[in-house]
Amino acid sequence: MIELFLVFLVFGFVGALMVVVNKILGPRKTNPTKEMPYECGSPPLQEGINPFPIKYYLVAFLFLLFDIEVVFLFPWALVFKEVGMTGVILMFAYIFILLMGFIYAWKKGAFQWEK
Amino acid sequence: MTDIFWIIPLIPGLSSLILVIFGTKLPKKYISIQACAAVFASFVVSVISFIGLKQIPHEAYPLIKNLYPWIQSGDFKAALSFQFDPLTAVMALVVTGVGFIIHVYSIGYMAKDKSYARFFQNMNLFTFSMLILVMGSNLVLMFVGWEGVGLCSYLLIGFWFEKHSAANAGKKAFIVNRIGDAGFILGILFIFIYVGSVEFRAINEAIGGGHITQSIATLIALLLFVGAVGKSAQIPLYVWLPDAMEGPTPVSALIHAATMVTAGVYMVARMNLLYTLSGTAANIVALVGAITAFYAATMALTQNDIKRVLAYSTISQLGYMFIGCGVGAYAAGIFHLYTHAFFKSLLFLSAGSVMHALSGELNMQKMGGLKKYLPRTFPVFLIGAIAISGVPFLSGFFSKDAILTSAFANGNYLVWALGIATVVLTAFYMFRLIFLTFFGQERLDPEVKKHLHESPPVMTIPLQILAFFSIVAGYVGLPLVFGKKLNLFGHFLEPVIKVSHEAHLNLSTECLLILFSVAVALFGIYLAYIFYIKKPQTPHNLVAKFPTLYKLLYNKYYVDEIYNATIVQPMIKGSEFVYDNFDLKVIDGTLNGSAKTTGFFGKFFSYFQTGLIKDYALIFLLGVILLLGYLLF
Amino acid sequence: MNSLNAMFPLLTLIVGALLVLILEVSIKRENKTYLAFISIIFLMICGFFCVQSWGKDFSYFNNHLYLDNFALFFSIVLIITTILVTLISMKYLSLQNTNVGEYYALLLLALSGMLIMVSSSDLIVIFLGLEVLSMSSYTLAGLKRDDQKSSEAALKYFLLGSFASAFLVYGLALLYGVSNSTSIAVIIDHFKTESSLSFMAFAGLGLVIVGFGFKIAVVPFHMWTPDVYQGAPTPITAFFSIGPKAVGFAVLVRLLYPFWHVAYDSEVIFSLLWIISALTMIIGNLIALRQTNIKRMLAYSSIAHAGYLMVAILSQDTSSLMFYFVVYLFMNIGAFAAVIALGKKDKEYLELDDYAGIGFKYPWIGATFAVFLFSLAGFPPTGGFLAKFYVFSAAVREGLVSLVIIGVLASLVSVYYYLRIIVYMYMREPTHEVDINLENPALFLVLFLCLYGVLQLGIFPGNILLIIKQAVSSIAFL
Repeated sequence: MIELFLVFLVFGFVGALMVVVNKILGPRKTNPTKEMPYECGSPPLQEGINPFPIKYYLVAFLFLLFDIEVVFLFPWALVFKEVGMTGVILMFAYIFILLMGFIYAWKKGAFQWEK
Repeated sequence: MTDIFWIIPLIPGLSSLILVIFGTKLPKKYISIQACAAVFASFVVSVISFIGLKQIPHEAYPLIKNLYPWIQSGDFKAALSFQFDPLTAVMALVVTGVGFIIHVYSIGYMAKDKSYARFFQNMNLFTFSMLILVMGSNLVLMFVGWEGVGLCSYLLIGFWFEKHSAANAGKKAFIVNRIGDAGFILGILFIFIYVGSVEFRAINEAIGGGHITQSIATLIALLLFVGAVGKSAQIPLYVWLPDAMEGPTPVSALIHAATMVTAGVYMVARMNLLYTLSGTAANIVALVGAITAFYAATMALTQNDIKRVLAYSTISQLGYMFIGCGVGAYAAGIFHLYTHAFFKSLLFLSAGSVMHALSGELNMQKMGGLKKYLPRTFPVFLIGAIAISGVPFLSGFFSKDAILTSAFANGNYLVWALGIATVVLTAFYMFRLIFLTFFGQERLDPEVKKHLHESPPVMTIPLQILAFFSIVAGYVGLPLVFGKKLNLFGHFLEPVIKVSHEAHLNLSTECLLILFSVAVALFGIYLAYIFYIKKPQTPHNLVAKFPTLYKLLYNKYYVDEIYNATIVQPMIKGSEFVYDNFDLKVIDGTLNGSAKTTGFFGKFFSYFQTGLIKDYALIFLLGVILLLGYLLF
Repeated sequence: MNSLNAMFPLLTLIVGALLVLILEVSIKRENKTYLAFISIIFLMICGFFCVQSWGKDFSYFNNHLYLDNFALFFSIVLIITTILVTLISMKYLSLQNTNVGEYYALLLLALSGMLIMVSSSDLIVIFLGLEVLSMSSYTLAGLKRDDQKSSEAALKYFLLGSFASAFLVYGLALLYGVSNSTSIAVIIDHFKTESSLSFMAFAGLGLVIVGFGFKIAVVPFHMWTPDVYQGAPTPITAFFSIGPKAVGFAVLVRLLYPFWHVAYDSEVIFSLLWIISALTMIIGNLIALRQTNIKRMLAYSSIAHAGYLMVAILSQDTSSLMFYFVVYLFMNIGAFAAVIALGKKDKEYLELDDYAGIGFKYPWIGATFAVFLFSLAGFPPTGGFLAKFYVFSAAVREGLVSLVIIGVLASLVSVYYYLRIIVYMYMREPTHEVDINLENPALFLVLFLCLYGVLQLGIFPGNILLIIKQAVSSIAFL
């Protein structure tokens, strides 16, 4: 067991050491050119990271959420008889919460592609 | 109506809090009304509780009101709980009653002071702490009050802190008191160790049940007495009290005559079972009291400062109270405490009135012949002086006599002799004070004389009230000669103070003793009369004859100088030495070194805080690896 | 007792959150402060339900939600935290241009997650609560959308948080594999039957400790703390420094308290936590020494406090842990409230230099801040002193003397950086103009309440100790 742990330790530490030693020993002289993002050797035309439309993600997110809703409805439908009235109430509470979320998203304008 | 007693201390506390927060913004008139009303309200509640207390059977004593479980640490429990029994009732009545009168007097006395709010706020805070001290149902709460009054005393002695001597006097009082407090804390700790509780009831039960051996009782009693010696200004820790006269006169009256300094006596009376159990400790208490009484009286003989004479007289009278407690006559000790509160505060306030009239003059050699200028102050001053001298039918006579008779009855003849000698001295120095101040030729500064005026009614009426009580207060505790039933005071205190072994004298002996002490007191007054009225040159002749003795007395036996040379200076030298060699080199060196080391490690560890999330995750992962490795292998 | 009553606190919070969300999209931007009042009303109702259920042992969902006094105690502590945080946020949000209503809804949801965590003893349910809490927390951290630091904080928190959650789930899976159950009681019962813990059980327990160690920010899982605390909106930082820590410790108590008594090999886990505790106290305090940003310094200080709390866990003295939390709640929120007080439109004063001379310029803020710092450093007569005293004295009773020595030395170091702020406030000449917006009654209310709390707990702790005693005696291990 101890040997195994040693192996464990050695591997772990060597990995960490490499990262740390790299940072300690590596010379850090910078100049503006060096700081520039690399774009195939030509000077960059604009900043590296630009804001980009997030609408696609938003829609994808919302789709995911409301899709899950349906997924949850399936098992509920299967045991519908056993869980009885409590199940109905709970499922309605669940859908109610989602509905609130839907209204919120709608009012926020999450579904408007063009503003 | 008996269960409202717990609000007695809270009223002045609340008032003080209001003054702390809004004091500077309120008009003077409102401040004085609120401060006095708060103390008066406490007084009224005390009276109501006192009446209620008399109506319930003795078995129900003491009444206890548990407000809050304050400290709970393992076995150690200290509750915020108040108790009310005859002893507490007496103390509460004295503190709030006399306190109220002094508060009213202060309205006039402090009228022109710029820190008016601060004064009343501290006075109320003091009343609050003192009431906590006397009403706390356990030693820890009592200690809180004990320290609280110490703090207020410090604040009020140094009230005029711009004056160097006042600030120093405050410091001195605080430091000397701390020496006593150390003993007091040790006493509390020992009680907790041997009794397992700090509640008075439990302590009394443990002593009553024989769970405490005599030697341990002696140890604890002596440690507690060290605290009492500090607070009640007994030998050798009395040095702070004369200096405390730097404070405003109402403060001297309230704190350094009527209430705070009697805390030690109260504590000894409260723990009376302990002192009764340990005969040795009781004897030491009596002896210290007797020596202090005599010794302080001799110092009062030669002082020229009117307030200092009264200060030494206070020390001397406190000695009497300890004699009472030491010889087992606790009721007599408390009785003297109670009468003393009236006549001593009367004397202080009258002295304050004299000072007020003379624009702050304190030196008696520069007074004389004031009788006709101060027609209202003079008679009350005289009453106070007669009362303290032990002239029959005024309050001081009854209480002092009760103590001396008990001392004699218990066979403590040395203590008794010292007490009697002190009676002569007391009568002498008090009348020396009266004669020098009010009789004889005028020796006033012309500048002072121009402003000479009698004090306003707000000051003289409290004086008259106090004078009235100085006369009649003693009639609640008549000596045995007049019949056993008439000692109402002693009977009232009986539930708290078990009168077990008080020896009794036959009537004729007691009569003789009383007559003797009266004769002695009158002799003292006569002596003063001869010295200062009939043949005013006598003192000078005496001084010329015994220059060393006079110098010794005048310089208060050089005790301050001795303390300074033997304790204070070596301490300062020693601490300087330690500071230079140990503090600067070893401690600071280590500290700076360790600070550098910690700083270095701080730098080292913050090196890992790169701000890059990949490094964070890496360290996280390393942590997980190490943790799992540790667990699994 | 199986009763729907057990659901009421949670339902209140969720209804409140939904209502705030819906109102958020339908009212004008200037009126959004009203949402704070609505959420405070719901928080108070929720608190009312919790107080009502005291001593009644309501449960629901087959005891997966079990409101014993222990759970209720922590719930009430957390509700008070959230109320105070909501109060200090009101003005802050409009000053810092973050006035969005989702803020309050997310706070309510985070709180509901925490309530789930403290009132369940099933690890899966606890995990569910943890995720509800985490998701809300990630969003809250990044709510100052125009601020780069805030976004950075959110991203870091999210990435590392998911990382930790993964370990936690892995640990849960292993424990399930060992004992066929996710209920803490069943798992511990299973341990009882074995003469020594298996490989898998150790790994599972270890990973669960990693998961919660991240939430309570103990070394070496603390790296996220300073960056997230610094970047997040200041009231949220105050919330992070108390809420997640409280639930983390509550769960650890539920998990480890029975474990000490039944399982073999518990000394291994014990010594592991010993090391973590010592490291946390040392490293947290040492790095805090070098910080000049107040929020960052308070972040490290909160790491150090987690170390002291670990001492309480190790000495198995739950009541001192709970007392510490109550005190910590007041002193830490108080300190953050004082930090928030020093701000104006679109500007917060967070550097140590900004605090020079504050004590005289704004005496109330300076004085209360000083009291909170004294309390954090552990000076009497503040609550901080008693809290540390109880924790360390319990540890000494249990024989953890060396750990206590480390703890006392570490808190000695901490005195330096707490007092440094006071030195700046009272003894340094201001180097530049600091003018702040003082029209903030809710904040001053919080300052006052916290001051009261710190002093009350420091001078008269009796009542709260009685309540804690009741709560400890009722911990249900289902």
